[in-house]
Formats: sequence, structure tokens, C-alpha cells
Amino acid sequence: MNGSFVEIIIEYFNHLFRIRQTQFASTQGVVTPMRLRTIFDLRQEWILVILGVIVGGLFGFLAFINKYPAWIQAACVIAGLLPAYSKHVVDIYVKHGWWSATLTMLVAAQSFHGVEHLVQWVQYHILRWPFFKASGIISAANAEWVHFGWNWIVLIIMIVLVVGGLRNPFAYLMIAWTVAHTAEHTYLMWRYLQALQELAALGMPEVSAQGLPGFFGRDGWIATSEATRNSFVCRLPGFTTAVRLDVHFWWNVGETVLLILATETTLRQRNRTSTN
Amino acid sequence: MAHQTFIPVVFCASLLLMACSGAQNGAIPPAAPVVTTTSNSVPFSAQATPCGTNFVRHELPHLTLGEPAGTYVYASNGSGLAVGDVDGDGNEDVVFGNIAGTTTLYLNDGQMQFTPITTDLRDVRSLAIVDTDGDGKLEIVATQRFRRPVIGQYSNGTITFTDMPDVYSSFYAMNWQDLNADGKLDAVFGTYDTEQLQNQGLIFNERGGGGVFVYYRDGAGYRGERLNQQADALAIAFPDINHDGVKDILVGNDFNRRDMAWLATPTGWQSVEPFWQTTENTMSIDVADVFNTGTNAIFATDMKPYDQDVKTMAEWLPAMKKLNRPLTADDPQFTENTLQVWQYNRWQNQAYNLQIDASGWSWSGKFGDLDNDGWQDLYVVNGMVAKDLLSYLPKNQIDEPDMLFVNHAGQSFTREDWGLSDSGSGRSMTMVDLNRDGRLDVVVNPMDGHAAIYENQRCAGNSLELRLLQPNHPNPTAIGATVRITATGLNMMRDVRAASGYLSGEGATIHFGIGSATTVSNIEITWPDGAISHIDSIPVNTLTTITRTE
Repeated sequence: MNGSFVEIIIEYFNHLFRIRQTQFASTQGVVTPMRLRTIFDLRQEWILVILGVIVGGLFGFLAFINKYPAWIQAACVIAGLLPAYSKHVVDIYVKHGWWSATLTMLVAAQSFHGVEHLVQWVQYHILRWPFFKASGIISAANAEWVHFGWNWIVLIIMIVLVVGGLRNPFAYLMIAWTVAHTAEHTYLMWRYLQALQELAALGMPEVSAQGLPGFFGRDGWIATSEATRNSFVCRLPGFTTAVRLDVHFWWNVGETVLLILATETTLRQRNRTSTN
Repeated sequence: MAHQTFIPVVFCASLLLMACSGAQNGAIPPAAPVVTTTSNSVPFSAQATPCGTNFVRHELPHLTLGEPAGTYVYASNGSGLAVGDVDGDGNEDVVFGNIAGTTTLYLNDGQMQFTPITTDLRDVRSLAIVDTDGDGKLEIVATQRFRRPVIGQYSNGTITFTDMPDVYSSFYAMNWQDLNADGKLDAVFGTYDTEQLQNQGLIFNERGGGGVFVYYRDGAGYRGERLNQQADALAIAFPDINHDGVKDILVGNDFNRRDMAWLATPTGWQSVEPFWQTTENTMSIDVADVFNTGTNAIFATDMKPYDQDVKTMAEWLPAMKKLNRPLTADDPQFTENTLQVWQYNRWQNQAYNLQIDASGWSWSGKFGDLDNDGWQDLYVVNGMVAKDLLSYLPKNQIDEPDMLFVNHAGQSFTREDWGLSDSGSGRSMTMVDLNRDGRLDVVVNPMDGHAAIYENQRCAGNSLELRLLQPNHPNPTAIGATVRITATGLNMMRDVRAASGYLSGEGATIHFGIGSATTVSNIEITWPDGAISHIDSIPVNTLTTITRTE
């Protein structure tokens, strides 16, 4: 207990976990090992899932007939599934502790986020929707500050998880990837706030400044900076040509894949160790 | 046995069929007639001042103004200019259009001294100096806001404008070419419906609306053909879109209205969409052999800030949100300049790769070899001023420097200053050698600013200027002709044209920069009727007049 603030917090949760696990083991028997599929396995909560789909679907249908936007209809269905997944996370917490529960939430949320970007990609490239329309399932979340906040949360949770034991090459790569991704969103957020400030100074506070280019991609810093114009960097595929939607699609593909690989690797290691 | 003989028979029949069908589709055209010429070369005038690194700005008294109450959209689109030897003294004169003020002709004495001749003409959009009636004298043609086009005849220090015969609509963009191969110059006009609707309301449509029209010269007047019903035409050009050797029609439209193209076919004009990516608000079109491949590329300007810093973006965002309408799926329009290059049997936009996609709120953008190195450079004038659209900005304007992109052997472009980065609100612009020193000067007619001539005083390579003449012909200055030359191992091509860029009339003299070359060979002239002339060599650093003798 001579470590940092983070380690103190971790130790505290470990303490709680040991108490709960002891209680659980004494009442339920042996704890089954956690696997990657456990994160997405909602079979235990099938009643809540069905109820959630019915209730969420009902609200979604009401939103549909009242001509609410499509993202509200989708959000109703997703909200309907939240109780089932919350119970699933609590169950994992009880069985496997705070670390596993946190990992479960991160993997599930990042996977959903990845799917959101995949849907955007399909809307734009396959369905050929225009930019303004290709904004995923819940487009209200497609805001500069949401992405900024989300990436910082992912980064912080990743650090906590690594400190707590998510230690393998994929996890370290994931940390590096997330740092870069978060840096890009921080740059975007900084530009966004600066642009809002400039617009306010011009007497145009109602004008949105969302969607400005970041470091990478078409019209991004690398493409337009005098330091990099006409350099070899501009000839790297996608670095200065990918549209913003594609840039963030690939950021999130990388992040999701690395997170899943890191999770699978560590869970396998842990299960092997506990079996031995 | 029957099966064995069947296969070779079918094979031979297929070969025969393929050969026949090939002969039909790709029929070898009849050999173009070869015509003789005479040429007269005059050395360039000695440079008055030692050469340096920059252009030198000469401000003219001409001032293009918007409406009396100030400059609002669409008066803010400005007015055109045109160059041509109106008084027949051998020097290119310049006429500057105006909106609220008067149009002025500047007679050029060839020494960068100009004599202004003021006219009553106002509300001018496009200008061109062409011989519309084939009488051997150049006329000034102008389209006007809410009025018919007019033709001005210069004589003894005055210009008399009369309505263009048989043309009754008000037009914006204009260009001239012999489009039906009868030897006479025809005109293509395009309307600017958004402004007409603002001015007239829906009655504009009830009166027949606008669109793109071809006016064929017919006796003393014109016979019109309407190609479509709606347009927001800011630019018209005649590239050979399908590479069949015949010039087609390309119309650049403002405001999210897609650009329009028509192919010349034996049965008439065929509407096509040849580009998978285009500009969204096409402001100007230029056609030029940018890569010295003997094939023209097509450059169109749009509105995209060169610098994407936060301050610039904040200045642009409110206006762009008003102007850019949501695009539908599969829309090929992007708000940036395009350079359509013919590659792998299709047009491909290379502007972004060459980093000439962003040049500010761009108006006229044109190619010309400004340093005589054999490669055509790109110059774009830009800026916007409008009391209504840009009410949130100081002076109601987006103030940005005009942009020069220097062509490095067709491989890349870099932005340079060369004294051409004026921050005025440029509109029409052309390149012409006004003092016959073999270097292209730049002429700009800005909005709410004085017209300016940028005299090219850069130390430059050798050059060659050609003026084609067809005496006793209805198209005496050979508009539509193409000239190919070889110099320093480069094959270069130029067209004689009446107008290009944005609202800008071109001179009939064509300019080749040839770098350090001291000889020019393989000169091939394709006259507007398809006849060809070959000239072995022409002395460099001369203005050479080539006269068709049959």
C-alpha cells in the first residue's frame, strides 16, 4: 500500500471484491472463470432482455408514429436493453470483482461505439448517404464534446485496467493508440472551442463549429500545414485524404480490435493460472 | 466432324465481325486537309527595366462598384473584363465592366500607358472581345444584369453599343466558338436564375425561365437553340470532353446546381455527366494543357479557405452554412477546386493531390506560364464582400490574398508570392502580354476596388507568342484553333479562345513559355475547321503572326 492514489483506489475495490466474492462463494459455490464471451453473454438475463426489447421497442414505435427522429427511436430500443446489461455487469462484479466489471463495461461500450462508427461508414460508403445524414445510430451522440469526453474516459479506464492487471502487448498498443486518438480529439475540441469563441466574437454564437478537420485526413493539419505540405507524409494512403468519417472509423476499429485482443489475452492467462 | 469444322468457321466469322465492327466504331477519319500559311515574326520589345523577382502592380482609375446603397449579393459577384486589339494598333486593349459604375475601355500603347474611354454601360457581367460578324473588326460583347446582351463597336475614340440581334433574354456567362462548323462564330449563353428569381420573383419562370442557350450565327442575326431550362451559369468552356476531336460544351453552375455538359454529336447536343467529382459552386472554368501531355485538363474554382486555422474557419462558417445546401446521396459535388485530368480513359480530379483544391473564396482561376519555364502556373483571384451575407465581418468582407501556384514540371504546385498576393476582392482576371516583352502580365477587375495590371518583371525564360489569322473568313482570329509545338523536349498545346475563367474575355494571341530553348519545332496548327498547317520552325522571343493562305 505504498503506491499511488490509483493503487489505493484499486486496493480498496479489491478489498470490497474479496468480501463480496467470499460471500458469493459461500452461498453459490465455485466461481466459473470469466471469458471474453461472458462480456456479451446475456443469456442469464433473457427475461430482462425480452422485456427490454418489448418495452424499448414499444417506446421506439411510439417515437416512430409520432415522427420523432430515427436516432430517438433507436435510443428507445437501446435504453430498453440497459437494465438487462446493468444486471449482467452487477453479476460479473459480484462473481469476478470490480476489475472484471470495469473491463466488461469498457469492452461493451467501446464495441457499441465501434458499431456506431461502422454504421456511419456503411451509411456513407455503402448506402451513399450525404455526410450530414450519415451520423450513425444515435446521431445526437455524434457531437464534438461527446467524442472528446468518451475518449478521455476510455484512456483513463484503460490506464486503471492496465494497472489492475490488463498487461499484454495488445494492451500496451491499445494504450498508445488511445493516447493518439485522445490527442486528436483534444485537438479537435480545442479547435471547436476556439471556433465557438471566434464565432461569438463575430456575433454569431448560434453557428455550429462541429466537424472541423483534425490532425489526420482530408484538410487536416498534416494536409494543410506548411510544415508537411508536399512532404512524403502527404503521400501515405489515407493520411491526408481520408474524410473525417473514415479517419474516426479507423481510429475506433483499431481501438476496439486491440481492446478485444488485450482482453482475450489477459483472460486466457488468468484462467490458465487459476486452473493450474 | 461437323463440330470440328464449325469451330474455325465461327472463329473466322467472329474475327471478321470484330474487324468490321471495329471499322464502324473507330472509323479512320478522313485525313484533315493541309493548308499553307505565311508567317511574320516581330522580336519582342526590349525590357524597359531590369528584370527582378516580382510583378509590379499598376492601379487603374477604373473602380467596379456594387449597387449605390452598397454591395449586396448578387451584385457582389462583380463584373468582367476582356482583352483584345480593339483599335487595331497591334496591342491588346483591356475593357473593364462595372455594376453601378461605368464600363471603361483602356487603349494600350504597348508601353504600359493606357488611354481610358468611358462608356455608359453598367450592370455588366461577362465580357469578350471577338469579331462576331466576321468584318475583320473586333467588337466588345457584354452580358448584362436583367438586360439583353449588347455588342459594342469601337470607332474614333467612342464605343457604340447596340442590342445583340435575335437575343432577347438576360444572360450571365458567355463564350464564343464555331459550334456548327459553318465557319462563323456562335455564342453560348447561360442564365443566373437565382439572381433573376430574386429580382423578378416567380414571374421569371412564368416568362419562360432561363437555362443554357446556343445562338448560331445566321445571316445578320442569330438562331437560338435552348439546351436546358435552368442554370446558374458562372462559366462556360469548350473542352473536348470525350476526346473525339470535337469541342463540347461545359457549363459551371453556382449554388449546388450541378455543372452541365453537352457532347457534340452528329444528331445534336447530348447531355452527359462526365465527372465523378465536381465543384459545388463552380465559379470559373479554365481548360489548359497543365502537364504538357497534349491533352487539356479542366480546372474549376470553388470556395474553400486555403488556411484552415480557427479564425479563418469562423469567418467562413456562417456564410458557408447559408450557401451550401445539403447534398443528396451520390452527389458528385464538393466545395473545393477541381482539376479534371484525363487518365485511364476517364476524368479524375487531381486538384487535392496537387494541393490546388483550396484557394479561398475563388473567382477567376487560370493557367498561364508566368515564368516562361514551359509549365503553366495557376493564378486565382479571390475574396468576398457583401453587406448582407457577410454582415458579421468587419467591412463585410472576407479578405484574403490572391493565390499563385507555381507548376513544377507537372509534378507539384507550390504557392508563391511574386507580388501577386493582392488582398483585394478579385473577380474577373486574365493573363496577357500587354507590353510585348514576351512575358504574361495579369489583369484583374476586382469588386469594390480599382482595376489593376500586374506587369510581369520577373526574370524569365524564352517565349513565343502566336497570333493566327484567317483573312476574309467569318472567324478571322481563328477562335477554336489549337497550336502544338515542341521545345526543350516538351510537347505543348494552346487553344485560341474567346473567354475563360470567370467573366473574362481572352486575347487571341497565345503564349508559350519555352524556358532555355532557342528553337521551336514541330509546330502544328489545327484550324477551327479541322484543317492542319505544319511549320518547321519559328524564331523564339518573337510575336509571330501566322496567316492562313488557303
